[in-house]
Amino acid sequence: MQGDGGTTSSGSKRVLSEMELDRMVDAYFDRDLNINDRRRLFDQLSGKGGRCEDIARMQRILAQLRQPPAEIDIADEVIAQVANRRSFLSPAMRSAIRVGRMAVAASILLTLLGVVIVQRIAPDATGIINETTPVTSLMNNTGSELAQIRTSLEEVSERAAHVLLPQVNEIISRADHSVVVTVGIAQIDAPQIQPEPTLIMVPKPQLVVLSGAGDYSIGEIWDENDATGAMPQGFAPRSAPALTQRKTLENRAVALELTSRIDGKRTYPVPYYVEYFQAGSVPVSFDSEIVSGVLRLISRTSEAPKISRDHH
Amino acid sequence: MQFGCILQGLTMTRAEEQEMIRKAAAGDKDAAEACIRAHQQSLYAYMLRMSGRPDVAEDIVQEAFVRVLTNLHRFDDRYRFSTWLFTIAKRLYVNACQKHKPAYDSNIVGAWRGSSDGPDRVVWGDEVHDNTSSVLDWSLQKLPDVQREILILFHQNDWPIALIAQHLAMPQGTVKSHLHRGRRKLRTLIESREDLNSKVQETWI
Repeated sequence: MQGDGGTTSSGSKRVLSEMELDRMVDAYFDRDLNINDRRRLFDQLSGKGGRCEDIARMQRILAQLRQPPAEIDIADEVIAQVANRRSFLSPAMRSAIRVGRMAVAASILLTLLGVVIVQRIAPDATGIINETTPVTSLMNNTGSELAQIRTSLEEVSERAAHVLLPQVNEIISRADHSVVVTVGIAQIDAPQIQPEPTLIMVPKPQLVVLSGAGDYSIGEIWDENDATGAMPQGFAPRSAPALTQRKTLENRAVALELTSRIDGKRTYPVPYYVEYFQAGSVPVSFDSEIVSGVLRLISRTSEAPKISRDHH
Repeated sequence: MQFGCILQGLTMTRAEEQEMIRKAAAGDKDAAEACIRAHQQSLYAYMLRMSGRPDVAEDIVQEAFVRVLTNLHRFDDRYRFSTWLFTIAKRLYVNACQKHKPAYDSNIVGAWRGSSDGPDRVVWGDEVHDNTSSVLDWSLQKLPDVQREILILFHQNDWPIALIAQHLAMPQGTVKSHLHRGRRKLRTLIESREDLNSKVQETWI
């Protein structure tokens, strides 16, 4: 023990005060005393039974404290947990996993960002219905909602037809200079079928050849989406002779049979209501009936279509 | 196992310890296992004396090893591994104390009595059962945290004063002061407790 006045190993054999003795005992338990200091301490303690007993008692307490209270072996559990956290991987693998995780996180963030942007641009597009709708009210509302949808789609298709028709006629005229083909649009109005309230037919405008010759047969039909390609869709010209002799319908009932749209395996509403449009003319209405799986269109009014684009 | 049988606790040299940690950080399971076996007893004893609860001590020791081994690449080899490990364990212990104050279990290997058993409560059955270890543990829990920790680290884990001072971030002189006061207070507490026990025994006889 250094610096403890009068208690160094080279000191005299004078008797230490109680305070000095306390300090020396503390230093002894602090393991700060060398062999000579320890000898000096024991010399000082000789004849002091109470002190010796205190030191012995403290030594017993500290020996007891030194005893391991219990033993455990958690190595296997720890190793298993660490392995679960992928800590025993090579640095390259670890960095690959880190990059992968970052990529996943980035994609999630981008997705969320996309959703936020869509919500900003079109708030209704990502709307979520919070309230549950009872089945009964759903059934009651289905019919009217479907009718609204159908009306909206009809309006859209009608507008599209009016825009499209003059262009198609122009394209056909340019394609074949010798033959002028007049094209009209037939639009099928399909009402809702009562036994199957969810079934609805979307009116689809179709281009129909009204007059002309050459590669185009009377009654041929094009899908409006494929008008420029002029792909015949099989509007069978069964009553074609009635049309070939005239460039207009001229107040007569005209029967056209539409076979391409009829699928014998499906249920179709009867009657169809067909409106027949022609470029620049008033619409001509047709009634329809299905005979042996064939939709038959019959002009029901006496009004004649006024063809405004007769290029003869 | 490569290290476990020859390296136990403080018998490991600094170079051996660093080599073991380097291998464990590189993914060597044997080295990691040796690392655990070298320190688990001393850490568990430290935590058990600190908390007075075997279950809490075991949980903290396990979590401390998991954290250490999953973050070995962050270990600064200028310091001793044991210091780092004990520091992490102590932080976990402090966090656990903040969540639920561990209730002292005077019988380490026995059942937990529950938090209602304060130190001043006389439980006659246990008093008659003269368990010196129980008295020691009870007395330890009565000490202030810092004195208890210094006593445990110095006398139980044989840490030098300088290392304890580094671990607790306090001057060595302060550590010694706490150590001296803690020792005296521990003896006083044990004597008072044993005196009480002997009186109870006389009453029963």
